[in-house]
Amino acid sequence: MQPDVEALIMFPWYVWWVLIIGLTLFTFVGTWLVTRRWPE
Amino acid sequence: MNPQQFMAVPQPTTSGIVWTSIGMAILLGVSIFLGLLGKRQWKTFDEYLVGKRDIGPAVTGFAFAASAISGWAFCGSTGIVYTIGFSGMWFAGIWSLVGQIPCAWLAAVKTREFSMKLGAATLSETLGRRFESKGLQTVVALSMLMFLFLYSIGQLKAGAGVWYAVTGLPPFWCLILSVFIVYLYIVFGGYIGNQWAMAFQGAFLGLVGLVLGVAAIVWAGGFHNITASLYAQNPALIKLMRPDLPTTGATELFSSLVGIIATPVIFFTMLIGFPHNVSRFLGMGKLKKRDFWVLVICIFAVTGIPVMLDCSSNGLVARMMYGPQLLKIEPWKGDLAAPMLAYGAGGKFLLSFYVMGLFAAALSTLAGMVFIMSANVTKDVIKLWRPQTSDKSMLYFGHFLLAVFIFAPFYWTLVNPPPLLSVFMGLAAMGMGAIFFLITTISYYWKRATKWGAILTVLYGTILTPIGGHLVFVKKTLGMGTFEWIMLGGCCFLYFVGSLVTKPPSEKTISLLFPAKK
Repeated sequence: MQPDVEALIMFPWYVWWVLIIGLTLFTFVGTWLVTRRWPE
Repeated sequence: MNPQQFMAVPQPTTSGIVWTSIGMAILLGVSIFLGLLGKRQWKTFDEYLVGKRDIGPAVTGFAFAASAISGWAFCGSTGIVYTIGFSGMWFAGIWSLVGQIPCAWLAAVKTREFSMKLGAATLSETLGRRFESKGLQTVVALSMLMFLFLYSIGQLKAGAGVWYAVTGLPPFWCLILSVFIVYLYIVFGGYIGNQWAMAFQGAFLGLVGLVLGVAAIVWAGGFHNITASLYAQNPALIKLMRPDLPTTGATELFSSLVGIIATPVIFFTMLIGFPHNVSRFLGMGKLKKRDFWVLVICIFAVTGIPVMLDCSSNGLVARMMYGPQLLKIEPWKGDLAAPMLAYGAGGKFLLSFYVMGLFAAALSTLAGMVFIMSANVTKDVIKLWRPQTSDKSMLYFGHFLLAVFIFAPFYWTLVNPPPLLSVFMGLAAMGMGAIFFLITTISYYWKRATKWGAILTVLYGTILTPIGGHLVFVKKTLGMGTFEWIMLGGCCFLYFVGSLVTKPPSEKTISLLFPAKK
C-alpha cells in the first residue's frame, strides 16, 4: 500500500482518538471546574 | 485489489434461541425483582411520583444514563455507521457525553433544589410553580405528553427487529412479556422501583457496550485493519464527510458542514432537555462534592467509552465482517449490524448478551417516559385543576394510563404507525430537546425568564416539529441539520425576547429560587 494511502487510512482514527480523549478530558476537567468551590 | 471474503450471515439456531431466551429471562427477572423492592418505599401519591428524595448518586447516575441511551442508540446508531461508514458517527452518538455530562453539571442539583423548594413532584409542576402559572404547567405537561408519546412509539422497534432476526421467532410474546414486566414494576415500585430497575439496566448496557466494543476491535485485529478493509470495499466509507450524499433530508448530517456542526448541538439540547432524563434527578438525595463525582463517573462509565465504541467502531467492524450483505436483508438492513457483529465477534453467548443490553436500553428509556406521561395527566392536569380528587383515584387512573402508554409503542411496533404519526415522530426528539433545554435548564439560571417566553417556545417548537418532519422526510427539501438550526434559533429568540418584554415572576419566588450570594 502506498504511504499516502496509509495516511489516508489512519486519518479518521486520529480524529476519532482526539474526540475520545477530548470528551474524556471535557468530562473530568469540566467536573473539576464545576465542583472546585464546593465544600467537601 | 482482490475481492474480499466476508463472513456468511448467521442463521437462527436452536441453541441461539435458548441462550437468548435465558438472557432475556435473567434481564427481566432482575429488573422486576429490583422494581418490586421499591413497593415498600412509598406511601403517598407524591412519594409514588418522586420517592423520598434520598436516592444515591450511583443509582441516579446509572438510571440517568439508561434513560438517555435508547434502543435506537444501542442498535440503529451502529447500523448508520455500518451503512455509510465513518461519517455516520457524527449522528450515531459520539456526542452523547456532550449532552449527558453538561446535563449533570447544569440540571442535577438544580432540579432537586427547585422541585424541593417549590414542593413539586413532577418537572411540569416545578416549571408551573417557578413561572407562577397553572396555565403554563398545563401547556408544558400536554406538550411533554405529546412529544414523549411520539418519541416512545419507536422505542421497541429495534428490540423487536433484533429478536426476530436472531431467534427467527415472532417478537409478539417477547415484547408483551417485556412491557408487562415494565408495567408491573412501575405500578408497584413507583418512581423508586423504576429508578432501581433503570440503574441496573444502565450499568448492564454499559458493560455490554464495553465488552462488545473491545471484542470487535480485537476481532478486527486493530484500527488499521478496519479502515483498510473499508477502503478496499469503498473509499468513501472512511471519509469523515460524504458530500456525495444528498444535502437535504437526514443525510445532511453526514454530507455537509452545516449538518455535521449541528450534530453536537442536537445531542447537547436533546440530552439536557429530555424530560425523562432530567426527571431522574427529582428523587435524588442531597449531593456532596464526592457524591457529585460518583454521579459523573457512573454516567461516564456507561456513556463514555462503551457508547463511543458502540456508535462508531462497532458499525465499521460489522462492515468489515459482513461487507454490504446486511443491507440486502429486508426490512432490517443496517439494524442487523450490531447483533451480527456480536455473533461474529463472540458467538451465541455474546449475541445473547447483546440482546439483553439492547432490551435494557429500550425498556429503561420507555419506562422513564411512560412514568412521566402518566404523571403529566394525573398530577399536572387533573390534580392541578381539580385538587379535591383523591390520591387513590389518581393512583388507579395513573395505572390505567400507564397501560395505555405502554401498549401504544407495543402495538405500533407490530403494526406500522399511520403516515401522519411517522412525520411527527421523525423530529420529535429534536423538537423536545430544543424546547425543554430552554424552559427547564436555562430557567434554573436565568431569573428573568417568564411564563410567556416559555409558552411561546413551547408553541413554536410544537408547531414546527410536524412541519419540519414533512419537509425533511416527506418532501426532502430541507436538511435535518438545517432544521435543527431553525428550531433552536426560533426557540431561543422567542424564549429570550418573549421573556424580556413580559413581566417576570414575583420577587418572592425569585428570591426563594435565586437567593443572593453571601
